[in-house]
Amino acid sequence: MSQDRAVPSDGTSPLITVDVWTDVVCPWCYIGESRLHDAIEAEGLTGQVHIRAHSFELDPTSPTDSVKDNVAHLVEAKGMDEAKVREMEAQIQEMAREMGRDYVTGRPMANTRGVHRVMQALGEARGIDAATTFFMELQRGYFTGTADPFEAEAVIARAVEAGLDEQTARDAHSGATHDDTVEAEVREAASMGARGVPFFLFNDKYTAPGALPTEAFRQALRQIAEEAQEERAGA
Amino acid sequence: MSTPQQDDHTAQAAQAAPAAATTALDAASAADVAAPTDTAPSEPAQDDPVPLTSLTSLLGGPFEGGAVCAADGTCD
Repeated sequence: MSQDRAVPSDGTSPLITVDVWTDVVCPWCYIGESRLHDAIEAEGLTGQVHIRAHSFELDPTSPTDSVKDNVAHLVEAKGMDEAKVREMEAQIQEMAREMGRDYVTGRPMANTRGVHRVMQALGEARGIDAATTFFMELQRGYFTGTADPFEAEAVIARAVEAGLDEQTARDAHSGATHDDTVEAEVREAASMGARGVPFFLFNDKYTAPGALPTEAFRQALRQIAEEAQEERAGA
Repeated sequence: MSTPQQDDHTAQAAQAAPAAATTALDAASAADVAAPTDTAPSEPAQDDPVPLTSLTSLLGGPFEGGAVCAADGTCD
């Protein structure tokens, strides 16, 4: 998917393309993408912003063969204080609530490479929009407690529903394919200065790390839309 | 993870190389690799991409980037 980031400029396509590097288990990605969506709606730009998801592994060292509670994972694998982790989760939950979003503080946690490989396979087969929808719905389900990205059969079923051949989905999830495309997208993010996610790229030009405040997204969208309109008028 | 942080990522991104000028990195160590500001100009991209600009420089003012989850799996 990393190859098809050209921004259309035919006057009929969306004014703004937003590429976002993200991971399915990344809380700030969920918050940042929610703020971006809110900003798009508030600016009246629905239908004028094309969002494309790209792979970034939040923690490639997470185990592939076991699933833990997210708090236990941070305490045991990262040495973080449990009370502090729970406090952080509660604060993010409050931020989500203020935006009218659900946020489950206790979630499963394991390696996300399989999900990324399936997303890449779906992108290759059905296009980046299908891959983005698959990924964002899975991420949203993870943080709202309605989807488990570590249930292989459920992930494969979602991919098949999105149009991916079942065997292709199974091959990707198991690790037989698409490691290279996942790694290419991670490298691409790093090459642009990303040290974490979410990492946003607007119109192949403006980079923004992190979950910006909604107002910052709104201001950015306004200015970039104006710039895009001027460019189209001058083309 | 408790509050959106004002980090230095924006400044790094402002100096970042064009996307096409990637260098081979190990995925697991991507977070430790400095933005290739000093090598990218000597490696022109095939399709001459627009140089990347930090969104902060477009916005000015107080917006200096948002909270991120780092590539070691932690979120601050």
